[in-house]
Amino acid sequence: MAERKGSLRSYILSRIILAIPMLLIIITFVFFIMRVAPGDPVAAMLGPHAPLAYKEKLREELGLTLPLYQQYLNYLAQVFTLNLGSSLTTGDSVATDIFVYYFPATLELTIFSTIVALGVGIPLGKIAAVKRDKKADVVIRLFGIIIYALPIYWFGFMLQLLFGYYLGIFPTGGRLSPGITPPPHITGLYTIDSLLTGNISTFLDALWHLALPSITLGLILSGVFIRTIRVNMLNTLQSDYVQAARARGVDEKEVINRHAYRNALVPVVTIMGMEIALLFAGAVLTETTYSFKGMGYLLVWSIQNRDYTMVQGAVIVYSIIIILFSGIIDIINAYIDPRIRY
Amino acid sequence: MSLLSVRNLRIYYSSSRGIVKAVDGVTFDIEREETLGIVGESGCGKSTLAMGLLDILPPSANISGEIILDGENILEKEKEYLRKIRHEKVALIFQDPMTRLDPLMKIKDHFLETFRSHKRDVKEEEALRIAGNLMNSVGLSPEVLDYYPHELSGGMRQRAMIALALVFNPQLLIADEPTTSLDVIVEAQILQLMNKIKKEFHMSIILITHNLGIVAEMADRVAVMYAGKIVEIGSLADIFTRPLHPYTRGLLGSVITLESRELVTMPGEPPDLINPPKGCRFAPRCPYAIEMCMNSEPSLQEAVKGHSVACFRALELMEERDILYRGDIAEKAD
Repeated sequence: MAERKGSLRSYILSRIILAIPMLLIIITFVFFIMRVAPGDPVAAMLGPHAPLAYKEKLREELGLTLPLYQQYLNYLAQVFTLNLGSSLTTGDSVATDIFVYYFPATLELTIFSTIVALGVGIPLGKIAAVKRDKKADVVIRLFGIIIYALPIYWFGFMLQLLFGYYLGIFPTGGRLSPGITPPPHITGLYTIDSLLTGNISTFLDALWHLALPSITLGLILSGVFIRTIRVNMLNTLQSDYVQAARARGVDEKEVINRHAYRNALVPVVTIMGMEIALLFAGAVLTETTYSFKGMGYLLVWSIQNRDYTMVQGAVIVYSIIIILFSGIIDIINAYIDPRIRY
Repeated sequence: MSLLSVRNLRIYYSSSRGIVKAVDGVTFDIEREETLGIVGESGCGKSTLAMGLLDILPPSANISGEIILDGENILEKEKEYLRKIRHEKVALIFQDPMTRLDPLMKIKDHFLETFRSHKRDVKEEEALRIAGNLMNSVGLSPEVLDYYPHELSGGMRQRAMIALALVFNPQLLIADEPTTSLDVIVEAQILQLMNKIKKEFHMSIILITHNLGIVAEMADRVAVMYAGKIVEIGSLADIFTRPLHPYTRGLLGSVITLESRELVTMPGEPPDLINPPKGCRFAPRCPYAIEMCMNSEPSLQEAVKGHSVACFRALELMEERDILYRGDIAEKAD
């Protein structure tokens, strides 16, 4: 046991060490791409009619007149002191903006989307595998392929149109209804904060606003889970240990749930690790469609306004999250599958 | 009454190329506390027969005939009855113990699950106590129950599989190539163990193998399978010293001994089970085939008391028994 813990520690350590050059490369890319791309933060901030002298003064204040390499080195030095700088447009601290306001919103959306994706994908994939080549299987497979191929924003618009506009069951955007004050900041996740402070009506309102975005992103991601679960279960259902379990007279329900399903989950958890990036990318489009003020919304807005520091900060945070989550998934996998040891 | 009587068992697989007649009209009996060896080449339907006896075939298989266990034709029974029979009366151990245990479950969980499926009223401690005793009797420490399959060697896994098979003291143990994936020393240990538990638990064993040496060591009676059919069945001595079917002779001739100067093989290939030859299935490879063999199919008939063979010329060939078996097929090949 002690040995196992020790090797896990060295595994985590090596993951962290590997993350540093990865982050450095990402920072470099984003830094130069933002500056190569056309557009100017000062023009975006002051509008096209601002006096030239005023623009120049602001440019100097923001350090944008320095040579590019100097700006790059200054930024790197800043990041290494764990300071993401302040927004070019609002002057707010990038780190505060991200971690207090925007990241918790995205985290909330991705958690609920994952619940929807797994809640839909796993049972459907299971049914499709057990009913292989029967009607149910064909319908589920078709659903999985079509839903995965849909553009997120189009699907989002359609749900907004149907449930928001025609039926009026769900709100079409935002995190809370107008007039409802956000719960006091604890985690930044409105659902959790409102529950922690015992404010049920705010909790329900937050949940109500989360419904359409989560269903949009969750359903689209469920296509991947349907296919992975189905394929893996088809394999495990034909495996030797499943046949051996049947030969032992094990109940068919247990054969499916205990042997075939659990073994099929092992690769699914790995795939979830790879889907994390897709999930956050999907969240960008979903948040934009639903004007849900999360990281994706912030990123799109900052790119449009050429807020260099905010874009850089957001991308760094995204990278760290994805590295972190895939590491966590690896560790979960080691616990599910006794054969995996780090 | 025999423990198990198989009558005219047919197992056909439907495939995209046509119907594969993997087991085609197999009939045999097995008595209590007897070991029946079933031998044949790869692909002759031995393993399909093993699965068929427990009715755990894939959905593409179609089974017909009679499997009479303790006087009841189990193929006529409902699913739940069949499920109970599996493991309680007939247990199966497999060729590759490496892949037959669920990699995510400890050995003890395999036992507990088996108890849950058959005898709900047995408490967990009681089940673990029984499992521990069984582990002892197959030569494993009860501590192994806490191991995962990947932590065990091949031989240990097969021992664990055998212990698992003994849980409900079955009357019949079907062993499908139980030692094929093990090295010779472990093989000998496992065979010894099987002989020991057979006596201890008063079981009958159907031993399916391609290894004639194992059959010689273990079996009381031997059935020889070729292309989905039993071509010869008799006592161990009958089959090994007085084989009647040319295929059996060929098999025995292919055994490598210290005196073998060269490898003796049978010419030709086993037939395609989708379109088997019209007459005797062995006729195209048989050195003694006559025209009749190509046109009509011989049935399994008792030639001598307790020794049946499916060959038109068996009695004729019995006379020429002095012929040196080894090489009589090789001669034809030259």
